[in-house]
Amino acid sequence: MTVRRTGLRFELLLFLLAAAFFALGYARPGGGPGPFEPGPRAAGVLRVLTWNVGQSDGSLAADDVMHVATVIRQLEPDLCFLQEVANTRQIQKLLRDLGPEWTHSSKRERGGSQLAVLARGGWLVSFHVPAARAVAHGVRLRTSNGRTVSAIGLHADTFSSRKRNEQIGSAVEFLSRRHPDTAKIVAGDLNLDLDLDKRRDLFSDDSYLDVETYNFVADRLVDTAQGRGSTAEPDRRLDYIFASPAHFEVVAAGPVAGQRRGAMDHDPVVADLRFR
Amino acid sequence: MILRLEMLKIQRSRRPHLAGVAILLFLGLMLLGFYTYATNEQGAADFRYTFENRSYFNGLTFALYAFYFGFLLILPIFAVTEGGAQVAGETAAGTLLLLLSRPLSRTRLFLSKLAMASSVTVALVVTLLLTAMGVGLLVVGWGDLDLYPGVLQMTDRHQHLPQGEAIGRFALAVPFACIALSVPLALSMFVGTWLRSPINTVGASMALYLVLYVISEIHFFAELRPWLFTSYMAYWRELFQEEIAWSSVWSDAARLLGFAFLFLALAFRRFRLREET
Repeated sequence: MTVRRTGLRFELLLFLLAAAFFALGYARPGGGPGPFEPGPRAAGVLRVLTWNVGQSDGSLAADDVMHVATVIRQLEPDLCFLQEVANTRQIQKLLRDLGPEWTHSSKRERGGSQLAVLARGGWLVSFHVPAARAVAHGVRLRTSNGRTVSAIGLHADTFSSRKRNEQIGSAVEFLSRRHPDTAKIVAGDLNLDLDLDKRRDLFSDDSYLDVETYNFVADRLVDTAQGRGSTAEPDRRLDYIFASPAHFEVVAAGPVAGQRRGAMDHDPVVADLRFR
Repeated sequence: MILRLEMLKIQRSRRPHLAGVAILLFLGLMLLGFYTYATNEQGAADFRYTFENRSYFNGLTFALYAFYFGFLLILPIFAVTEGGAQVAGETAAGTLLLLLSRPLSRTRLFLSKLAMASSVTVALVVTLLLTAMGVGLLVVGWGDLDLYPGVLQMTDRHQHLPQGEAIGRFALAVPFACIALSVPLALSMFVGTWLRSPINTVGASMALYLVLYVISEIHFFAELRPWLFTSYMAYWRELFQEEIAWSSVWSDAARLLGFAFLFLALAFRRFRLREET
């Protein structure tokens, strides 16, 4: 009888320990940041946005152009990098809707759609990025308060990590060499699907190759939305805004959820950067 | 007395020796893989834009790679084998009935079996880590430990640990890794109280572990991850950050201990109440 009671007590102790440890472990919410919500743009901050506005099976749908303009107006960026805009008519439509203070520069990307850079205030001058001509669009921005930024909008290859390495690496190297002293931004859909930190992915068979590319860039520029979660379906982080740490302090950055419409498969990513 | 008997049984079973041989074989293959990779990378110059440099791969990097994969895929097999052999093994051999016919409470017997299985598991963790570090030192040579984003999913930014600090982190990883391995061990003890064959017990427990591990790795099941113990198996990776997020380490450890005690409680309940024939 005593033996049976001892056994029962021991069993209860084990259950109690399990309950206590579960309570301790699950009392604290799980890791990972909450959803990013950009606040009002602070004075002296350059707000940058990148968004692959295309659909999962093609470029930006004509019906969604006004939606893209609405989101841009709501998020109030100073500099926008758009990928997979279907044609120049869509860019003109966007600009008409956004207002006269916006300027733009665009180029045809591989596949026929447009890489567009839109800027509010100031002026833009485009430049070629020789080794990554088909996927990169360089611009030099003079902001309304007299600052100069050299930037490259990118839409790197979807399928080949080797091509991505060439495209992204050469663009970053070109920017560093050609504009050594100016503030630098590299933004766009880099298609680098990495599990940087404690995330998992059994889909990708070449993610280790993208590790090379990501770290090459991260060695030179700061990944502004690092640790803020995925930007595209399904649960992948493909869209990045990199900025030169010597010239910018990152105030806040991250993907803005809930802005996709129709068959869009990317979230816009926003970064608030303060000039040093 | 009973502990001495359990120790003798483990020695005679040769299970720890088998695990040791498997660990050596695994480390040998890892070393071969390391050299093949290094040779290919240097010879073919695959990537034009790379972050890697000659000082990146050293003995500590090797030890970390080996420990990471060995811990997740090799050690659970032996933890599960040890847990499965305890009750199911004795049941199949008919010695459990003999043991219980002596003036020995089931609680004490269960505790002694748990203590021995846990000791073997701890010994395996220490053996894997020390051997990996030893091989790393002798064959590759130590140095500072640099971790880059994407590599082993250990960090989202470049981490640099000087050699001395890195060795301290390896030592720190041992108790936390043992906590993680206690869950598959407890799971197999639980399964072992239901099945009468140790082979079936180990097979079923390992299958459960692998199914849960794969589920916790696939994006589709992201919502399930917090509730699967396999999601936390490699939580000790946090200890290799420059700044350790202790609150995250403690909460993951507490969750794992919760699972371990739950499986042990269920195992003991079954062991306590079942009729031996």
